[in-house]
Amino acid sequence: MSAALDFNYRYAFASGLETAQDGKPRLSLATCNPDHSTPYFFDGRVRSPRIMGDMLIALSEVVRTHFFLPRPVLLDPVLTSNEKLLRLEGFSGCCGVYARVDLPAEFFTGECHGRGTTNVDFNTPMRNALMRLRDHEDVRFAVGRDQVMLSRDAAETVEKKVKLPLRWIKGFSEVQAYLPSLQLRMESGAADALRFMRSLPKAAKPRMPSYVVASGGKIRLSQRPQAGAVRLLGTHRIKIIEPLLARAGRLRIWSDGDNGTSAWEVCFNTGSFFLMISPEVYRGFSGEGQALSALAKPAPEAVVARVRAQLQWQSEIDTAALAGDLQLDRQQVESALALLGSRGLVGFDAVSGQYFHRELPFDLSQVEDLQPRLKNARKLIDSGKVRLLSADDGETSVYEVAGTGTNHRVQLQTAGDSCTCPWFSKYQGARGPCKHILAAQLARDGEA
Amino acid sequence: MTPEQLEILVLEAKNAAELCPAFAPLTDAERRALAGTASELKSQIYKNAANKDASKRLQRYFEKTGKSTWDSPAYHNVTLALFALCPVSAVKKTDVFVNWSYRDGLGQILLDRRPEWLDGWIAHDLQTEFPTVTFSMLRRWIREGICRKPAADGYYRMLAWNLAIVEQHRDKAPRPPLSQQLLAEPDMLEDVWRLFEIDNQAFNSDGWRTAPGAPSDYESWPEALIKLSEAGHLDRARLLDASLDGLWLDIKQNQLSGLHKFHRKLAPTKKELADRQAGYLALLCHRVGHVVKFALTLLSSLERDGELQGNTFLAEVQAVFLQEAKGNAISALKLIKRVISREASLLNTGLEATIEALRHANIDVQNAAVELLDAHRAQLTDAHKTALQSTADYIAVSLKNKVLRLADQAKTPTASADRDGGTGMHTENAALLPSELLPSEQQALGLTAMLSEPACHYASIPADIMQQSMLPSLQPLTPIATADELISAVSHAVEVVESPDEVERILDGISRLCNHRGDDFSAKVAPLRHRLEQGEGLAAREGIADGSGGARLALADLILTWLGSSLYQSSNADYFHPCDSLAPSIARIRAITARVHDKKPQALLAAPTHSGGWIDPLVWIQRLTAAEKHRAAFDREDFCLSLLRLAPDNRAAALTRAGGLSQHVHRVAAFALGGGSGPTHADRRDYDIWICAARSRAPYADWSGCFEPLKLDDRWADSVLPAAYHWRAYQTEHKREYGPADNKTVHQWKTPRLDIKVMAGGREMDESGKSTSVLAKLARTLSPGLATDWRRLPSAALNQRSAGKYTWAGELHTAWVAHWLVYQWPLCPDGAYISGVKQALARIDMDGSNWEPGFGFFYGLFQKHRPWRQAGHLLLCIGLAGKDADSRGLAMDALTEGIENGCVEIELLSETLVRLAQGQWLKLNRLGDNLLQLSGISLLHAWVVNETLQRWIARVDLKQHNIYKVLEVLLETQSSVRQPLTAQAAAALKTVKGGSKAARLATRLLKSDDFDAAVLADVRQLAIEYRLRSR
Repeated sequence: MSAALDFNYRYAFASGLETAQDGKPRLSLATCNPDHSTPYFFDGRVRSPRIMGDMLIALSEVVRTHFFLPRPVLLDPVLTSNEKLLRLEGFSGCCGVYARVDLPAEFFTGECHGRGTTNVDFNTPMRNALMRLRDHEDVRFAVGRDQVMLSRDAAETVEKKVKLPLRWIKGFSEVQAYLPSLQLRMESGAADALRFMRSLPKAAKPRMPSYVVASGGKIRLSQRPQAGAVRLLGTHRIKIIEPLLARAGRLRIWSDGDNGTSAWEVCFNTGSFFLMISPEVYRGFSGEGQALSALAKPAPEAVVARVRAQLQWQSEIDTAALAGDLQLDRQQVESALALLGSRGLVGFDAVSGQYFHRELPFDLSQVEDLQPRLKNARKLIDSGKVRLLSADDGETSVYEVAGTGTNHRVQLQTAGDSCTCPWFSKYQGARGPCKHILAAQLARDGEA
Repeated sequence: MTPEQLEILVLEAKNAAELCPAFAPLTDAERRALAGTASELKSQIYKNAANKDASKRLQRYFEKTGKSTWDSPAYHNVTLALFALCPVSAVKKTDVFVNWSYRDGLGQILLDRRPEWLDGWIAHDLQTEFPTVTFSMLRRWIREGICRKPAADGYYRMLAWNLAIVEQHRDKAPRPPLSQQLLAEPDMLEDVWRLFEIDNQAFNSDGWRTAPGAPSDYESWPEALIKLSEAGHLDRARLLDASLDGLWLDIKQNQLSGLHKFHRKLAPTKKELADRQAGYLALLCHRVGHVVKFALTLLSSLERDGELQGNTFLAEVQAVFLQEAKGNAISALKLIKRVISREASLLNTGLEATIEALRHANIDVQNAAVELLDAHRAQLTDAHKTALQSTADYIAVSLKNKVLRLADQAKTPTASADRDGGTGMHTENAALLPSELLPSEQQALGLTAMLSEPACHYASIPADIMQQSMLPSLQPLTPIATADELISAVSHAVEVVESPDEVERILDGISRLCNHRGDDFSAKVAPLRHRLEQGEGLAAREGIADGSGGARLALADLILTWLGSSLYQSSNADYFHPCDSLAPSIARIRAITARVHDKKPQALLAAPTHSGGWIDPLVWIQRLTAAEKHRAAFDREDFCLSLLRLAPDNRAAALTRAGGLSQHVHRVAAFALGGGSGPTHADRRDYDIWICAARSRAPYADWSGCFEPLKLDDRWADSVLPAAYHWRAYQTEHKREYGPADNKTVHQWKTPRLDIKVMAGGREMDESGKSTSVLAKLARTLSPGLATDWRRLPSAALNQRSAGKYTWAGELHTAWVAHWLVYQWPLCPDGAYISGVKQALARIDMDGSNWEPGFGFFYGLFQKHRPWRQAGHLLLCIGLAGKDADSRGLAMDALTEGIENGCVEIELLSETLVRLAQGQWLKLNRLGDNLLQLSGISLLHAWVVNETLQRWIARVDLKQHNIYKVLEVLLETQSSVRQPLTAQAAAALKTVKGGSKAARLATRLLKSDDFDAAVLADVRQLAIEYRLRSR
């Protein structure tokens, strides 16, 4: 079994739909941070209870599902609060599906009591209650509770002891490295999107990649790669959004043509549900290594620290403005944000094209240590197994790096690094640099 | 007890019965003193190795027992010793396992010891997947007051399982009925309620739990609980509520099923139902279909009793339409109908709810909703009509006009709005106008008839590929230029081949660049060589090389020969089943390998210039000229293959440039390119070259007259004579009987079959490709002719039967190899398609397989401008009817594109489907689903589907299972194209009688009168636009 952290979700009460004192339904999300504090972030009324219920159920489906093994998963979503937005993020047990619910301020009438990030309790009774939310109802919504209400309700503390696989934490943070490279590929009306979802294979699923192709306003599934098509493996993973489409306005599909990641954004009049899936069902984001280059060649810690100091739970971080404020160039700020993203300290919103501040409520100190490829690359350097063969001529430098039973050639060049190892030969860099390339990069950059 | 005595006890006690009395009298202090020894013993016995300071006795023990001790008495004894002596931390370790035969002993040991940690350990143990503690042990301890009743779910799961189990042991008396067991220990009556709150098997609906061997008075949990409630031991109301609440648990579907079955088994009275109405209403939004069905059934009962809260029901019922289940949605609509009939004041809300049903995926549901709305059309308000309009995008085409009429909207505008399925293509300019094409180009695209005859709405491209221009639409292939590029390409291909084009580039690269070895060549290729020599590089399923045999083994040998200095000539593994069709390609690779070993670089004549295996004849002439100039070695296999790969384009121009070739080569080249004269008797030893030239010149022709002077003994299909495929669909019935004669179990099944005969000149080939008739055999015996060898003829090799045999080791299970078959004769890949048909048929009712993928054959169908002919249509139809999602998806893509570029011949498609249907195994549900999807792409696609199906239904048995699925498609497409049925189709539909779904659909089709002649003009225009774009 993979390494895991013992994590204890301790909530002051169980999330759920209850009847408030005024007799109206109130959906309360219980909060919990690693220090076992229970922040109180928001209290207000929901304008579209049913849509919110549908989105939260879909998010709940993601966090409770392992998409290729029948393993029970009990990993709660993470909520970030500020005046402009309530944002809930979740990650599947298989580490291959990331989901985000964006509920902008217009979704509510209410008051933001605080900024920050917290785990929120998702449980079966709450899911059941969410199914029954109706738009005509006047539903109150609260994230956390103030102390007065807590003591009055004398709610029973809820504890959930779980083993958080380290690869899950790693994937949850690393998923941010994929988001900046996503591009909007196609857009479809909700009815057509629903028709498309219903046409996806149910019992017999394709084993080879499928491709979503668009012509005009319609999308369909094809088994052939084509220009502009979105690669898709594991059609059952995107079926999660099917129940949302009956009430949605449109579906937008994003993808990164290089690595095969795709994202599915269900847009409502207000608010959206964003689902991102890994290139293959059996490949979680944790094993992809897109963040490795950022970690291998990080921005200077001083820069990272200065950027981090500017984070104040912004829903959008204006990189250019931040660079101006800090008198850094934009590249440095983006590099620092990418590193902070891989450490779980910021997220990236592909829709706005901006980072946002949130700190995953887990012990992230081990995230960098969870990079076996980077660790192995450093081992290669430490054991003197990296040798420069030809000096950098400004464009290319060639290294010899010891492999298993043979020596690999690594070429570092502006057009793209390459290596003769099987990993690189197979994926051609689409799954991040191999340990030999990382070792050569570290050697070139003077890290021993 | 001393540590030494403990060791002796552990090593020598034969069973738990010897251990228990020894441990029983020990005090807590004595146990603590022995705990360390027990732990050390456990550690050594578990790892089967003595510590350095271990006693001689223990060392002797390990010497004597050898390697395995895990099932020895000592292993079990020391485990029990842990429980008898150690603290809880020692027994909680994950590796501690108590054998079943020692569990009674464990129970006794803990009974004797009564450790204070027992409750904690039980709670811990019950949370594990396979608890050590048994239910009987637990109950005994609870009875004797040694432990408290556990709160862990595991205890209740044990309760559920153990009380209901049927005693199978012959020597043991049957267990008393479950209700008696509960009454015998009344504290368990209170445990019952927890069974409604957790995941457990008490209410599982598995039939095997009660059979066989159950006593006559056996009681399942539901039966026992009902009996106990009737006797007043359990609260009936609480049972009803608990079973209802349990339906909200996150548990397996069969457990949910068990819960609602139990609820219904309790037979709630009218009052009980009414009291729980809110609970049933809440279940309407449940995600599990059978739970919703249960709720609808009980709500229906309430409605019959006049107790249903109509308003609440109508608000909640809309959730049913968001789910996929069709039956529930229909039931919900029926109930809505009853509610609004009973209570007129609810009509408005009822119609609102009904409109929601129009978003359901199923046409029957939509139809039922439309009928209900139509019945109340006078009461539809403006709000209803607005809501109706908002559902228009969700509605089936056949219902759209009805819905729009209900919404007081005009009919859908003439199909032009929908004609391209929203592609917007009609609003864009086509790539060019038909008038910009030469008549020959119009002819090649199949446009001539469509442009000149308004009644011609669709025409396929000409059946003769030689009228086509292939190269302009194909990707030119760039040859590999440097050794570094070659190393990189081979390294990647060893892991995965993206396309056969890459393999061809590599073959050509190695052949040309084999002498390009810089000083550091060995170092550069060392990782690749290491990977191949260690075997890992031969294990990638989709890689270029393989260690088993066939073409991939030949490629592995070629690469290894290039990388080193030795000549590799491996033989197929014994178990490997080669594909005969690839024999000429393998011979070619072997020839290249020999030349590479001899360090004789040479450009390949057969290296494709364009994707798909095609060679531009102009480039070919340049290659021939260069080869003669440089006195290149003549490679017979390469030359033959190059002839078969010549594209139809540029042949006349190439012919004019062939003048510089030597006489012999010029004769062949000129003949292949359409000029010159045929072979003479003197050419008979080069029959392979001349036959390939002939097949290149006219792929489908009968060349027997031309080859008469050669006096050949040749009866291979696609050699001198063209191949024809005679096939018939049928099924074989199988019957197996199992068990004793007086109680036999009969298993019957049917297997889909296709009998495919490869014919040459009207004669059938046998397995070896020879004609089977007596006369033909006699003629062969008497013939003085030169016997031809199919291994020298790539076109004929494609028809070798062994290609289609069903074997796990076949190299055609590598997708790129299956695709590569087409590259052997791109002008006419019929033989490759037939191989694909056989492979696909073998798995037609199976899911896609990683080990036997069948989809590689379908890539050939995507070649624009290459007529599919009969074999292509057959492969396509097998793909559409199969279960394999990859093949099905590719077949759908091929059909989609084939309609657009004219590869689809409607007559041939419908004929193929008719003949397949005659086999009685065609899965019409799959076919219907696929065609329905296809018809949504554009009006043209809908028209082609409609046209095909009209021809099809006129010739098939309309009583076939699932025929309604096809009729549904016909109705939908008929609604799109808005044309009357043909007389033949109408006559066939009139034969469908009765009240079946198929009969209802036939009636609707026959009654359809929503015609619009303008639609056909749109179809035609769209076909022309698509065709121009495919150029």
